Amino acid sequence: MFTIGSKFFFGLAAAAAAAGAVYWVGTDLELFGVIVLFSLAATAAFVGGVVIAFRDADVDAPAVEATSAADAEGASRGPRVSPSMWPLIGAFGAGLMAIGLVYDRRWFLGGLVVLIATTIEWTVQAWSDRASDDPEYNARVRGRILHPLEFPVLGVLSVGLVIFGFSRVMLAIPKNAAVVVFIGLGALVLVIAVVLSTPRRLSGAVLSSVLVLGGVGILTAGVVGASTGERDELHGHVEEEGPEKQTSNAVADKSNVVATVTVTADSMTPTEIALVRSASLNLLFANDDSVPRQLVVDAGEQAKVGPDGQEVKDANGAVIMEPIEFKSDYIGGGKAAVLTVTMPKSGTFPFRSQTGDDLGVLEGKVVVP
Amino acid sequence: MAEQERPRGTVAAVADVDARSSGPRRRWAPLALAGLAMALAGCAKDAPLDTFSPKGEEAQKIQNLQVPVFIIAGVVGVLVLLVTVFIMVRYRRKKGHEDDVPTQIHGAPRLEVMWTIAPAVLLAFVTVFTVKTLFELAETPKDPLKVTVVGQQWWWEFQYPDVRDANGQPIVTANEMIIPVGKQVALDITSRDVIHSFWIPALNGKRDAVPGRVQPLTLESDNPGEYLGQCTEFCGLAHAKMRMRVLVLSQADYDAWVANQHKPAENATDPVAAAGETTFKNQCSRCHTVNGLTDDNGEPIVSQADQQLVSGAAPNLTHLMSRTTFAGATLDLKRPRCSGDLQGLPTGTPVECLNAEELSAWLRNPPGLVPMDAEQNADGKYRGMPNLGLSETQIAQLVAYLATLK
Repeated sequence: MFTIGSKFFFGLAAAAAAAGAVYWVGTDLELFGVIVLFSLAATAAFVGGVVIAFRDADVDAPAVEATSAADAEGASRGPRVSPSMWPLIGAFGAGLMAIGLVYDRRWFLGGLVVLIATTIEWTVQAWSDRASDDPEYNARVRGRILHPLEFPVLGVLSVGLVIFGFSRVMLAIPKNAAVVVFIGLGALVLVIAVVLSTPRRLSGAVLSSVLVLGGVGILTAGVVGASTGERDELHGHVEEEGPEKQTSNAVADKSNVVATVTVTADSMTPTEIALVRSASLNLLFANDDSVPRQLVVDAGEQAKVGPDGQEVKDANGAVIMEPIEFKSDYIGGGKAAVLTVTMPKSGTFPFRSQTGDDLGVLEGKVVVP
Repeated sequence: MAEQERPRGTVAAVADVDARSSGPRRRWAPLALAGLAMALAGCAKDAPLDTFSPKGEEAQKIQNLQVPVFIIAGVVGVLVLLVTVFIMVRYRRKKGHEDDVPTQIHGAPRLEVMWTIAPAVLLAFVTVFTVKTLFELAETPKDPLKVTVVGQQWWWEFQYPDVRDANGQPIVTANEMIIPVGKQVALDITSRDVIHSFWIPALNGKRDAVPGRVQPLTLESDNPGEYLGQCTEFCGLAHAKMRMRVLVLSQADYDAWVANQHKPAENATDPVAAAGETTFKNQCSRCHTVNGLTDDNGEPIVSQADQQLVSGAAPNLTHLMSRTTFAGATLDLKRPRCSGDLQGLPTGTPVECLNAEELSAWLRNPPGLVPMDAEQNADGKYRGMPNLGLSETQIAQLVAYLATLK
């Protein structure tokens, strides 16, 4: 009853379900991980069923259970089909898309990319498997078509993953340590390059091991760095983008602020900030209150501009003015975010921190020379 | 006799040979002269942008690093050149042996390891001191004088956020930063439009002024004096004319300068200057600020530079006469006989020292003196100061008014 391909998927489903159960108990129902693992189990089980129904995609295979491996082999007289991981990868992509539909659009797009890649790879492999009776020739045909695509993409992905992993490490460790790590890694790369360039050439296995171990090491460190979070000075608080859409949590912004406004339930420091006129500047808004707060900076008035780009005037011909305000999102207690402001004119302007409905207002002033 | 024995046509042939051989010489001669001139330029005494004349602690740290590195690099460079020349001469193709093929060597492990490891060790040695210097230069000074430096096309603004007047307004000046001797100055450098680069070579290295970012830099000078700088990131038409100066004063002079900067501008009393003030209010105050200047209703006049200029700002002219230069520090505000004298700086340029001719020429046609893209763009804004089409009378009145801005 069970075909060769289906056994793999059912095994995967069982493993994912077991992992999901363990994760459920171990994390006291951390919802996201549980959903991922059980979705993977469900998807793998579904694909396993499909694989059984279609007899491993072999239309000539009899729909009866083979009594032995030899019978199973002999049941099909068609071309020899290479073992393929693409059903598994495709199932992973489908699962990713399903989760992405519920959780995050980026996951959905990732799953879509995986499925498209699977479609291309599987199609070409199925075609090349039937190109001739010679498996080596078939493999060469496949490589001729797909290698020009695979190698650059895999190269970019590998380098990208290593860079991403390394960047997580650099953001997690102290600034000075980051400099030392950067220099150390550069020196290590140099040493390895010198060793590799010696006349006594290393075997391919050793070379591959070094590269894979290095890559896995950096990725592992990256995962650890990402789970540790950014170092304190970068204020590893992450806040979802809110309706105001003027708030940022980009590392580049957080590492480059002209002033930090810290609020508690009944105080705000500083209450006076000097900002340069007509320059784009970042304020870090740290909310140490227990309720969400918003930072609002008034920057004077400007002429109201209509859809045609012209100033809007009232019935008397006077230009209608409207306030210039920079507002952060409502930042949760214990979190922080960057608000970017540009003060167009000189003068003294108010800024305030407030809770919802303009309550709990704490006020200060911005001096613009 | 020898001339007589020379066959006919020999003279012409020799002349041709001379012409052929002197052709390349003639071509190389200008290059050689240019190279010589450049080499000799390094011997110039009056070189205010000389990177090898540190006048402050930070610049001295850079000097302490770069001199040994230059020596090492020079020794390596000379050695490599000598070896190259030796190999070229020793193993050149020789007469009578044109068809000889030298022994072909494929791989020399000892040599290859040596010339890989030796530079690596040398670079590692240099790296240690470079990193040490970088860390030292990045140290935040304790109790510094804070100055915010803002670059824009094509001038520099300096704000002193912690040095405020009775109304809480920080000091703002343009193109010339005034600091007290022996005091560490913590700069926060940014830009309003494009990327610029702040560089006072006698006091520290370069630091880019990038829109949206604030970059720190520390300066300190051990001696009173005038230190010149230059924008070192191409930023448009007048990039070469975007200069800056750091004027280092004794503590007493600096205090006097601060006290003077805290004063608002006074209304002009002289009739010509008063007429100039009116012109200033009507024309110049759209972009320039003069603290204390009020309109007919007594309301402070606020610059609308954000609506006139791409950068959104023009120099604050409240104490124009307390500067030595204007127009991106390229034109002298003082007559030559008064220039270089920092004694009168804290309280402003005396009238007899004002370089009225150059100031008038600037007001007459700014883009004529400094190349600026002073045509309105699609948003109706300028880059730099446009020609305002002032009459000669207005120019004279404006100069009289500006002379009152001590």
